[in-house]
Parts: sequence; structure tokens; C-alpha cells
Amino acid sequence: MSSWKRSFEMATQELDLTRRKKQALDDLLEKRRVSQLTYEHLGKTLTARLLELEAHQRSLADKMNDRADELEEQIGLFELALAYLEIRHVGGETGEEVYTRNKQTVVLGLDATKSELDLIRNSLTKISL
Amino acid sequence: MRLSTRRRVLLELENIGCLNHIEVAFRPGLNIIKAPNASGKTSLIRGFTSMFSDRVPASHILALDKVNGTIRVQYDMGIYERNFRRTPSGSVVASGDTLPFADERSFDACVALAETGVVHKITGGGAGFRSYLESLSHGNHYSMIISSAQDLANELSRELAGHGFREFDTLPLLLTELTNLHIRRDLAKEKIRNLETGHEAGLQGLSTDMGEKTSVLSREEAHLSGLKRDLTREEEKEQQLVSFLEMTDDSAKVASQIRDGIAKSKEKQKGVKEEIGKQTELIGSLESEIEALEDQLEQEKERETQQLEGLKREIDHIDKAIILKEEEIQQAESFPPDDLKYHGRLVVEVRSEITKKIEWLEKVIEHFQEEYMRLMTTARLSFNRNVTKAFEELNLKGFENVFLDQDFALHLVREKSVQQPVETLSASEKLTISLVLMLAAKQTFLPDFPFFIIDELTLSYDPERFRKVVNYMTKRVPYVIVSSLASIEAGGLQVVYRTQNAGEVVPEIITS
Repeated sequence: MSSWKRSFEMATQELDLTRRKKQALDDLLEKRRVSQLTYEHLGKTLTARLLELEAHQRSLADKMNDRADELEEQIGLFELALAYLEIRHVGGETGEEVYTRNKQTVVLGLDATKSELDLIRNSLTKISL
Repeated sequence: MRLSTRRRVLLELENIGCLNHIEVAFRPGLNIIKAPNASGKTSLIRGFTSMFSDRVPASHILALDKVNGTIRVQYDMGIYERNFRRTPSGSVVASGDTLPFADERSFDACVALAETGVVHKITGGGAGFRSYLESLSHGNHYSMIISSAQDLANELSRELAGHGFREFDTLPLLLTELTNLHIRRDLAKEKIRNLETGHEAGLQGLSTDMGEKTSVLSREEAHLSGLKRDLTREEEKEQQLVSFLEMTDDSAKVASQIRDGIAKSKEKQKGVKEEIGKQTELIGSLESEIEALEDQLEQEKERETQQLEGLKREIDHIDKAIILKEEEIQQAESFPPDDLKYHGRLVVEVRSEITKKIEWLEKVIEHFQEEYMRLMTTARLSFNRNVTKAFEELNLKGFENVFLDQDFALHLVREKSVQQPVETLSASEKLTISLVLMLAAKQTFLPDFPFFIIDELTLSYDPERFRKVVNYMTKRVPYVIVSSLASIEAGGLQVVYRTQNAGEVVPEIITS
């Protein structure tokens, strides 16, 4: 799987944990378990980290969008190749065996590309949520 | 302060060192204190230095067998008296006046003793002059400030590493632990929700199954009842036919038909009975299934209850752990109320104060380090200039250059730029270098100090070179005092004067 996936998962996990920490800190202040000064001291670090992670995630999203564009283009090429194969097969230009083998290869590539594209889209949806 | 060079300086000592009472006069120019060994030359010089420096301890000045001693100096129309007193505990305290030009640094720059200072350093082969120049240029004040500020900053930094601050530093970790507890609690709650939803669906399925089975059972029971009714009817029909047969002639055709009917009825009864048997079996099976479903439903309900109770217990534990963690966080953010220094104060507040202090101290250190560097560089360059000037004017052969480098190490450069280590110099050269360095120091840092004192350095000195150096000094210092060993035949301690203009030595004994 592409490296973006691991980066994305790690960034998402850390972002989630940092948000939870901030929430926990807000709760502590609300319950008067920590003073305003301590809250600000700890909150400053957390906010900075949140901003950093969000920026990182945005940059990751940009890269993922670029990758999605590449994959869409790749899918188009695979589909074109498939259509070309079919035409040649129907026209009797390719033998059954060659046709089957080539088709299998193209379909495998197409499926893998679509699968990665789906994963990227799902992940992008999570970010936008 | 410039002293009138026309005036004599009168020195009177009482109970000082090995001297009971003596009065001597120093004239402008060269003053040679001549005396045999153990006659009091060093006592006189030590006593005199105590009028402008505390470097010689009072206990080394007062006569060992006396309780009180006095040094009196008359110069420039003024009389200055310094008293020494031995306390009952045996220590010696000094009190009274010092000369107006008194300066601690004068001892380092203007008093050449064999056992201390530059002479001692050079004759011992030492070449490091940082602390010497630090002291003369007051750079030691800066280094003391730097050192004190550094010590304070270190102490504050150590304080920041103390227990209360270490506890405070665990706050991010404690917050992470608290967050993990929140996450665990949320997960447990989600499990409960899922369990309740899933269980409801499961129970619903079981209930539906049971409903269907019960409905089938009712239908089958109705069918059984129908069968049983069929059987009863068939049995009644058979009995009726048997009654007819009894009333009918056995040979008649009708009798034969009735017997067939009875046989058929019995056959039918047998079939119905078999069907009743199967139906009863089916109903029994259905009842068992329904019973099993009821048991399953019961077990499911019990399992759910147990799981829910388990999860609720877990949530209770987590809630307690959350409260404890929150208390831990609350404690970590402040010093304990019984803390001796910061009783109950917020750590973040105290840390901010200490950090500001450290930052301020770092600025102080940086500022004074710059000042120190500037001062010491200026002092070194001036000192080097005066050393070079002295060597040039003295026209001492053999040295091309004598200077302190950036690390305040002394370099002696012979002809053809050959560096010579201090320790390889001859005894006479070491003394020359020492005196020239001291004179350069005096000219650089204490140009107005009116005395230059040399105590018994002539023993291993080349007389010609010594004469050159002393003449050079006499031109630059109002009073040059040199102590010198004399033969026993020469009598007691006497001071011989040689004024700058007079070429000959004129001995004069003042009092001894």
C-alpha cells in the first residue's frame, strides 16, 4: 500500500488524540481542577501541535488529491486498454489465449487502481468530516 | 595622586617583625636598605606595605612576642598611623590609617618579593598571567559578577529540576493518561450501546422464532384434534357396523358388506392412529424446540445482563480512575501547601518567575563577558606596549619580543624569532623579566603609585643588569626602595640614598 496511507493513519490518530487531550484539558478547567495559568501553559503546546497536525493533514490531503487525479487518469488508460483488447478480440486480431491473459492483467491493474482510489476518497471524506 | 618628589617619607616602626623600634627616611630616587641577615629588612618592607595594602597578614607584621605594634608614616605634611594588636585568642588585628594612595593592586605591581607575585611565578617557570591582569585591571570584579551570576543561574536551573517542577513536568503525561481513560470510558459506553442494540435484535429474532414455532404448534395441535375426532368417528362407525352385523343374518350378502365396512373402518382407524402418533411426535418436537428457544431467550437475557453489568463495573472503575487522575493533575500543578519556599503556589507561575530570572542573569553574564573581554583585551594590549617599551629602553640584549598572547600566556621571543620557555631562562633573566613585567604593570595600571619596592632579589642578580633596571625604574617612579644584604661588619640596618642626579651613593643611618 502507498506510503500516504500510513502517514494518513498516523496523522489522523495523532490528531484525534490531541483533540481528545485538548477536550480533556478543557474539562479540567471547567471542573476547576486546573488553574487558568496551567491551562494556558498546557493548552499552548496542544494548540500548537493541533495546528501543526492540521497543516500536515492538509498537505497530506493535497498530495492525496494529486494521487487521486493520477489514479483517475490511470483508470482511464486501463479502460482504454481494455476496450482496445476487446476490439482486437472481436475483430479476430488476437487469439483467445493472448486475449484472456492480457485482459486478466489489465483487469487486475484496473481493480487495484480503483481500490486505491476508493481508499483515498474514503480517507479524504474522513478528513473533510 | 602625585606626591611631591622633593619631600622625604619618614617611616617609624615599633614592635614590627624583629624590629623593636626604628625610624627611617625615604628620599625621592633610589633608597637602598642595607643590612646583614636577620636585621629586619623584610620586617621593614612588610610593615611599610601594610600602609597601602592588606596583602601581608597582620599576624606576619606584628612582632611575635608583642601585644601591640605601630607603624607611623609621615609624608606630604600628613602623619598616618596604623596599629596592630594581638587579641586574647592570639589573632592579630590591624586598625588605623592607610596612605592616601593605598591600593590593593600595588602589592602585585609595585612590591617585588622573592616568595610572592610575579617574581615567584616567573622564577617558578609560570607563564599564565590571566589572573594577574584580571586583578590589576579590575577584570576580576567582572569575573566575580559573571561567576556569581553563573552560580545563581545554575542554582536556579537546579531548582527548576527539583521535585515540584519534576511533578509539574509530568502534567502532559498525566493529561495523556487522563485522555486514555476518557477514550476507554467512551469505548465501554459504545460497547454497551452496541450490546443493547445487538441484544435487542437477537432477542427479537428469538421471539420471532418462538412466535412462529408456537403458531405452527397451534396448527399442528388443531390438526391432531381433527385426527382424534376422525378416529372417534371411525370407531363409532365401526361399533355401529358391528351392531348391524349382529342383527343381520350371517349368510346374507349384507353381512358380508358390513364385515368389509368394519375391516375398512379398522384399516382407516389404523391409518389415523399412525398419523396421530406422528402428529404427537411432531408436536412433542415443536414443544421441545419452543422450550429450547425459551431457554435460549432466558440465557440471552442473562448473558446480556452479565455483560452489561461487567461493562458498567468497568465504567465505574474508569470513572474512579479519572477522578484520581484529575486529583493527581491538580496536585502536580501546585507546590504542596507545606512547601517551605513556595507553599501552595502554582508551579507554572513560579517557573515563569525563575525562568525570567535565569534569562535576566544570562543577559547579565553576556553583558559582563563582553565587558570583561573588552577590558582584558585593552589591559593586555596596554601591558604588552609597556613591556615592549621597557625592553626597548633598557636595551636588554637577547630578547626580540616579550608579550602576553590572547590566552594571557607569556611569550619570550629570542633573536631570530626563537621562542624560549620561561622555565629555561637563567635565574638572572627570570628576575629581569619579573621586574620588567611588574614595572609595565605599574605603568599600565598604577601610573601614579609613588613607590616601587624590591626586597632582596639581588642575591642571584647580574649587578650590571640590576643597575640598568633600577636606574630605569628610578627615572619613572618617585621612590624606589631596594633591600640588600650587607656584611655584618657594616653594622645595623641603614638606608643609602642615590638621587637621580647624583651619581654616587651616600649612606645615611637615620636611627636603628
